[in-house]
Amino acid sequence: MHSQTLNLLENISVLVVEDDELARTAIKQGLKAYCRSFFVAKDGLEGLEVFKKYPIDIIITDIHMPNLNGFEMIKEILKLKSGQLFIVMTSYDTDKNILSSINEGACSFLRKPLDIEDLQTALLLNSGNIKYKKLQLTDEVLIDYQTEMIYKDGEVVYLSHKSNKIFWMLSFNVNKLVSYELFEDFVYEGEVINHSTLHNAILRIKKQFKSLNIENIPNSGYILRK
Amino acid sequence: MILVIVLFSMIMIHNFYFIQSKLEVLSELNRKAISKDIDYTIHSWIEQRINNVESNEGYLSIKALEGDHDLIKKYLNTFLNNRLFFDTVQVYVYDYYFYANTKLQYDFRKGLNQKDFIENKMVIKRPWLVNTKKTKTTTMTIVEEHGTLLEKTINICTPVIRNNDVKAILCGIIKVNEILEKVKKLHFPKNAYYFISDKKGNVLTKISEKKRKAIKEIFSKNILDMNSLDYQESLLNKDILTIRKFNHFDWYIGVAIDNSVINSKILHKFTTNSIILFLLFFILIIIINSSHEFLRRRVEKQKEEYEYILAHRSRMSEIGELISGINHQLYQPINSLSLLLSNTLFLQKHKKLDEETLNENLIMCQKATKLMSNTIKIFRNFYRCNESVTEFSLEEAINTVLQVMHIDLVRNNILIEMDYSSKENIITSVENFLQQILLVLIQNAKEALLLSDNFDKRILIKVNVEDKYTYIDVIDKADGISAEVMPTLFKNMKSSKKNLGSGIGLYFAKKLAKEKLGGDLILQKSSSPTTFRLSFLNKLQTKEPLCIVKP
Repeated sequence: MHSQTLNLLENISVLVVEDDELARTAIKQGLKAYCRSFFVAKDGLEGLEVFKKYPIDIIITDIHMPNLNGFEMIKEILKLKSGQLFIVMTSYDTDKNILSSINEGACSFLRKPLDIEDLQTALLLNSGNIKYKKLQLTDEVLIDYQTEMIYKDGEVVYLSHKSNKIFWMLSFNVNKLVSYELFEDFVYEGEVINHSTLHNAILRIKKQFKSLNIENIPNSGYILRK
Repeated sequence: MILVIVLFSMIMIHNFYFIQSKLEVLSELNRKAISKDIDYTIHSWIEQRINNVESNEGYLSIKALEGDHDLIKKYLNTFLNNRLFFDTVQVYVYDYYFYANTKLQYDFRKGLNQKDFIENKMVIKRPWLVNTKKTKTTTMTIVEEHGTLLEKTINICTPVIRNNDVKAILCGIIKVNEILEKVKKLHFPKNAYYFISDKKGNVLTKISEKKRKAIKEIFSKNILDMNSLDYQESLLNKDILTIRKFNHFDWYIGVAIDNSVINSKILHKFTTNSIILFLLFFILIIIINSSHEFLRRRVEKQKEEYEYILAHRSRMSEIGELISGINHQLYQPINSLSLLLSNTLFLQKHKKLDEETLNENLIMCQKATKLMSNTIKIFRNFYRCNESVTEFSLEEAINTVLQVMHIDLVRNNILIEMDYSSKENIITSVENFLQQILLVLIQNAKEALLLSDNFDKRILIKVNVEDKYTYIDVIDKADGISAEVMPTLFKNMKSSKKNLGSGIGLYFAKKLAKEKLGGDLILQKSSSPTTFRLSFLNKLQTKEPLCIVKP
């Protein structure tokens, strides 16, 4: 594979979740240099934490790991960001069946043992599948999923930490309901919040981006409509 | 068993007495029947003759009664030879003559005094003549020695009455022996005997001297009512005797049955019967016993075979489960190796490989291969079934089990917590068996946790080494063990393992703990947290316990 081809990866952000240290190191060696950003995690739990903190385009994950296994991690992440892409590494045939039963098309499978080039190829193929790289939400607002940047009339806008998270929660799930529980989980780190607290935060976002259509579904959550 | 035999013999004894009493009643009836039979026979026989004499009396013509010798001779000849009822006949015609045996004996008209003849003390008394004339009816008289027949006879005499006057006495004479011959022809049971006696107890029939005396004694003691026609009972030398008077004359018929014969006969029959019964009973017991033994052995043998199959099966399933573990445990380093090597090649191809990275990668490759060989070693040791007693580190032994199960547990998100508080670490036992039991317990806890909704998916292993025994508790917070499963928890015949995982495993784990490690495996606590406690000897003495599955 040519270096030029690999340079196509320079725009994507990758998270590798693998419990075997040697494998993790090897993957890091083979990928980190070509990606925009590269993260590693040693199990599902750590992977979930990293996902919540950073914008990730593609997650490469093992299935059998302690604490939170890959299967459970994927379920959690899909709740937060329904369009998330996964590359699953596994040595078991049966795992594919389990995973495909909960998810259509978001996963590609790699059979262990792996060559580094298998991984690179898979990444390249999947980078084309990244659902939205940039999205014009309204005439006024453009968002870049890969960098998690918000543009208002062509200008980059920075939101406060919590508002930013709320904004991206809604953006990851355009036209889909984001429940109160997910907000609590993702934005407020599991803390039980008063609905009015969230409502106030949403109002602040609306104030900033007047054209955004954020709808409240009573007792359920919010939907960002495009 | 003894109770049955005692009961059996009591029933037999009871039966014996019951049969005996029944037989006594029967023999009494039998005696009466025999004497009646004899009586009847003799009676009817005599009756016939009496009738014959009485009817013939009417044919005596006046002429014959008044001295016509020819006529009377002719009459007597006809009378005697017509029916052959009598041995001889005789007629005494008053004032004329006395004919005996169809021959003229005395002619009273020729000098012999009639009175002298009747009362002749020198010859014989003639009671038959006197009695018949006196009663004017037919009489029967026993004559000790008959004048012409010269033996004991019975004279049946009837008066010949003409014009209210006894003109003559007509007699039919029968030898006593004749009657006795008649009686002899009757059929008797073997143990019965009879006699006929006169009223003084003189026995007329053939009988042993001893009995003759005894009979005489009975008669002389006057215990019998001599005139009654009823059956009377007495004892004759311990034999039961039935005596009855004859209808027509002063004779007595006695029938006795030898009691000892009866008893010994009963006893004999009874003993043979009971011996046969007892033998049959005994044989039955032997047959039952041996068939029971046979069945027991068969069941035992089948159980052994079944156990062998089960042991094999449980082991196979264990092995199967762990082979997938091995698989994955080997895939991990192979995967690392593959990645590292391909990566190194890739870097070199793009001229980006510096010496430091190469070095690092090679070291990591070495690590991976070591990991592989280690994994193989652990699994090989685990399944080599080394059953010898050795000294080993308890902690390491447990860690090996955890390593073997690592992938399986990780895959199911189950965490193992060790509570190893004991200082003592080296024990002497069969490491392999200990590990197999732990494997079963952890597997069991794992399966329970998987079925449970509890999020606390931890298995706590608590090790406590005491003076003689070591206790290892395997604790989980799953749903516990239901009361239905409890009784069959350690049994091999368990059909449903849904609630508890490998029941076969638990059965063999307990068996191993008890038989091979000198300890036990018990369910310490059935509800959450479920606790299984394995105990085993710290210093096992046994030489060479057997591996339950032969390699």
